[in-house]
Amino acid sequence: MQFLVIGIGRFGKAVAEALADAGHEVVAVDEKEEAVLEVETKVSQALVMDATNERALRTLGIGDFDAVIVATSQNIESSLLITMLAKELGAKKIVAKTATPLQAKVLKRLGADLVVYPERDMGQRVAQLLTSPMIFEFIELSPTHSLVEIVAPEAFAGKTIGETKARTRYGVNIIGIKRRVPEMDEDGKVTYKEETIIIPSAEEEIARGDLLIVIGRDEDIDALKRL
Amino acid sequence: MGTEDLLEEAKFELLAGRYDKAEKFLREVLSDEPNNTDALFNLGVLYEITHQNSKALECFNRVLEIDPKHKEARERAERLSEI
Repeated sequence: MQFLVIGIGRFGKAVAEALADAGHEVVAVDEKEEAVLEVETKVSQALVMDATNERALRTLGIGDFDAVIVATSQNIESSLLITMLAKELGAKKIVAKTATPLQAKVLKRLGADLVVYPERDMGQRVAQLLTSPMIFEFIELSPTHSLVEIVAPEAFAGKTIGETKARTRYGVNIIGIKRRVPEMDEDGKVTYKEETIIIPSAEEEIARGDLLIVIGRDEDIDALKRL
Repeated sequence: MGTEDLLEEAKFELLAGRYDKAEKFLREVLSDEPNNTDALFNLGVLYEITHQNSKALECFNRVLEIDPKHKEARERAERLSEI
């Protein structure tokens, strides 16, 4: 796929590099030359350009990209203007970085299909990590249900999923297991490889330290954390 | 059992997935030799395997205090200290 990343700050650079690493064609632009130099070897094309300039932006052929990522939210005015111009120039999909709900609202009005709040999301993740160190990932599915990755409670270690009675006693469904399996490397040192078991059977035994991917009501997940 | 034997036993138990026993052997080494970087490093790996990341990070940082050039401990500590 083809992507255009406008604004190569910390967020834009991370998005551009991740897309390029995944094998996609990425064009990254920024008005600062030093920012462009930082990614030029990693993306398909890196250009110094003022993306608020409509004529300059037009030369990029916006409509040819599968998505345009507007990552210039430090400068709100630029971010809004670029989103509007990208929409007018036929962008198929616009993803815009934002910091505030008000800015998000305006970006959507101007044509952003998706707005992202990297600082807010990371803030929530850090808070989650600090308050529930057993929880590695957290996805809110609804106001009452979530999907989490949780370290297997000690009470589950050595039991099969069926024996844990996770569903009947605790009201949660274990839909996956992430396991680190010890192995010896070529230098004779102990290391490990990662294994993921999706939809494990009731006979699957849970090992100490496994990460369980669990779906359930928030209160049931909280009860699981206290086991 | 000497230090080397204890470390070998610990690695054997670690590879077998018997983490409690592996931890016991490594702790035994460390009670005699608190600065044994092999024991600290393997304890860090054990904690990583069992998803006890903050304990793992403590072990790798301790290895680095003793041996700042320990490349693997540095790589693991750097990875664990980022989210």
